[in-house]
Amino acid sequence: MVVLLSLPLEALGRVSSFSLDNGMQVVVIEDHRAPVITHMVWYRAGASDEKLGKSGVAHLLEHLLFKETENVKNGEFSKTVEAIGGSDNAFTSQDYTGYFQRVSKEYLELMMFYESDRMQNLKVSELDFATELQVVIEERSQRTDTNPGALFNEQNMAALYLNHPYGIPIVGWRHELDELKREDVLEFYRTYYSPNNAILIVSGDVDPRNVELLANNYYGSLKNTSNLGARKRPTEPPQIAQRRIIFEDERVSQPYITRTYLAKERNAGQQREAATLTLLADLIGSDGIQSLLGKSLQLDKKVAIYTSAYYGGLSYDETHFSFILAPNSEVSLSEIELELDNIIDKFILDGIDESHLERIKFQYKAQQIYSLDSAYSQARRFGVALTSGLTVDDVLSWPDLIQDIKPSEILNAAISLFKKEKSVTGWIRKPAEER
Amino acid sequence: MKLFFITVFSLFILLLKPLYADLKVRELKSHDGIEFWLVQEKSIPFIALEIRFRGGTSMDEHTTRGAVSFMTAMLEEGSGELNDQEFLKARDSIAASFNFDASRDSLSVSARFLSNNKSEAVELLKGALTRPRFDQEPIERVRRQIISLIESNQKNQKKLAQSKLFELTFGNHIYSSSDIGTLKNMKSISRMDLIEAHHVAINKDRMSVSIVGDISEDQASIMLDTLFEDLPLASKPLPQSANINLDLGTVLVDYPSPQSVAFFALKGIKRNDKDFFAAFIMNHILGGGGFNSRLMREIREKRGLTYSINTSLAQYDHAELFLGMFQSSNGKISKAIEILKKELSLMASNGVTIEELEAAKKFLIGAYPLRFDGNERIAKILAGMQFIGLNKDYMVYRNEMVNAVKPADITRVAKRLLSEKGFTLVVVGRPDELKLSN
Repeated sequence: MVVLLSLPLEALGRVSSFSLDNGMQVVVIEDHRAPVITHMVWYRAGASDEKLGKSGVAHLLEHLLFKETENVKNGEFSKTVEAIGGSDNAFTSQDYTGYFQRVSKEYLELMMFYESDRMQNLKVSELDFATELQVVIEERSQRTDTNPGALFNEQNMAALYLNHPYGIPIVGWRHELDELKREDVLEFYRTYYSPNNAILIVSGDVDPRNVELLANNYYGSLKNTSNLGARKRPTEPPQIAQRRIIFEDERVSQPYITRTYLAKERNAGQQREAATLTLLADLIGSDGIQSLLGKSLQLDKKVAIYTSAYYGGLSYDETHFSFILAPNSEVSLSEIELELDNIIDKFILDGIDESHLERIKFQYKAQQIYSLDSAYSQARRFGVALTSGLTVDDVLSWPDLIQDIKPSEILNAAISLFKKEKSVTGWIRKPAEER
Repeated sequence: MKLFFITVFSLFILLLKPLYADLKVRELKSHDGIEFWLVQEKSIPFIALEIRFRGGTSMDEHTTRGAVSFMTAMLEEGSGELNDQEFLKARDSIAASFNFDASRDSLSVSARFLSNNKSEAVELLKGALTRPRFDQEPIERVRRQIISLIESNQKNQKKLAQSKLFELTFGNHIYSSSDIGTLKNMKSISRMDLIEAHHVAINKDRMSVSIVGDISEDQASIMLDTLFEDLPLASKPLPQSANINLDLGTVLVDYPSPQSVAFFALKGIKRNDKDFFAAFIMNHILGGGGFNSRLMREIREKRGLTYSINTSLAQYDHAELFLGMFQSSNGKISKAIEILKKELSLMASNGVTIEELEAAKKFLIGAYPLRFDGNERIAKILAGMQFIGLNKDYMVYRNEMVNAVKPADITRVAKRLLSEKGFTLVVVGRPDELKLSN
């Protein structure tokens, strides 16, 4: 660790944040290197906010927002973005739905005009609904049904979340998609698309005072259409039995296993456990052959061709920590699962490799500098965090928190997390293998 | 609700502005004569370095196909005094990142490091590029990973479609087979083959180099001279042009899946062809332009037959193609193909409307400057421009070239590229009622 990081000059990466009178939150991230902006509106509503039996509604609605409104013709918004050389798209997750445009900076106001309009004035014709539902079913086929790994993942999540809607796929179960009605989508829209449930994020070559002025005009003038109570989903009961799934599909080439545990997510003002789990994932698995898993199973014993761990702390409700291991062709799934159990024990027994921890921490520190290079990624980072229940301060204090985590905390987190009766183990393979 | 209506028409006045003046690209030469492009950007204390070596996986021999991509995967597996783990430790201790990627015509290197650590980063990168160890242990580890990947690709519907299409269109040319090689080759490629691949794919006289970030001209020059001083000159000629077969009609590959994947190819166009820009715009209107393209509108938006369809002009060093891809349910794909063929022939006979042409120009002209945001993005673009033989003035005249295209130019180029005789379509899946070979 030879070098100290110096902080960037100028206003690059400066974050401002304020709220409009109707409660809509605004975040501005400055980057004046190029005259480009990203304009995003995020709703604190995703697939997990759907009514039971209506899976896929949040995502289908996202598609329909590109159609018409009371004031704007079908497809006009996207055509306008195209005409100014911009790009636009949208995304739906379990916890949020987001819409964005990347355009030249002089078009910020135009983007606000269209985006604020479709927050409240959407029209959904029966024809558009029916056609777009077919598009979404094709999307599900393309991304999930033709991909055994995606189907396996869907089954894993369903097994992990017995009661919480994170067990239901974002795109929707196919049999429920087939039954969706136009009114289901409109009801979701009326419930959640309201300024007090939305966040505006603008990043790039902008002056925060100008953003505030324009935001007041376009978004500040919108009335709240619904009074949402606290955002509460069904919660998980304590897990008392380990769960196992075996998924067989003739399209599988490389068999592999996963092991997943429910894990605490980042919460406002309480992110320490999540920061600890983030470092735990790196140390034990997600840092390739430098992690214990890779070093032991890929380098030393040569029983695995791929190993990793994953933990994502950005989540509104309880998240998960998972392992994935692909064995060599001579090694069976039960053998590689046994190796995983041994590595977990070994990690706890051996304690933390402190020099590895130092390297990992230094990379997170450097990441603060590298991440300034993309105004779009910065905007997206804040959007995900704020719709996961965090504040701007939580985002800004996260890097220091990572640096502050002690080896003993990581070890304790590992001891309390890795309990087999609180896990889901998944196998994916070709049919008739290992019978 | 108070809305400030802006008429869409008033917006277009601003569109023909040149690329903004504050991106100062300098074409420079180091003390040792290495040509490179530099953009100084001091507001973030890091440097993005992009290198493209011409040749890439096309430098493979058929018998050792996959060697260049195997070799590329080995570059971070130990060099000089450092074994695989020591190299990674050294890299991470300075939070540098190196990305090596072998593709059809080039081996590209994307490096990113803090300006404070540039000499350490350059030493490591120099080791990876000039003194890779190719130790037997990591060779066997990476070999197992590649074999697993090849096996997965053989069961991957999209990859199957693409490899079948290229196998059919490229005949005996090296482009006809997969970059990463076959199972048979992969079991026999030796350490000597990797050394040979390294020797033919990483050469001092076949580079395009760009640097964007917190570094002066002099520092950049010294850095590059150090980095490249031990690289050999090219000894093996680049491959010949490919003979392309495109008159193959529809080819079906059976695959168990609820959807079918369609991959199609038509005649392409060289970048230096006088009708290149007309073809570029034609592609945008037909299928390259996302939601507003004709194919998206007709096949997705109006009929819900696919989630997405797109087309592109592929310019490889030794061949050109016009390519497209989409997926549809087995029950819908025949209808989607019928509409695709109708749209291709409509474009070939009638070209585009004035309105479509104007809308496409507005997008392509307006979008061009927007891509130059971010040091890493700019570094990639600049290396890519040099690689295809453009000079930096292109950034100024490119939009004029787009703007000069007339409807008649598009009709002419559409007739030339989209002829029914030169159409090959590979369908992988179990489509209902598909008519083969028309």
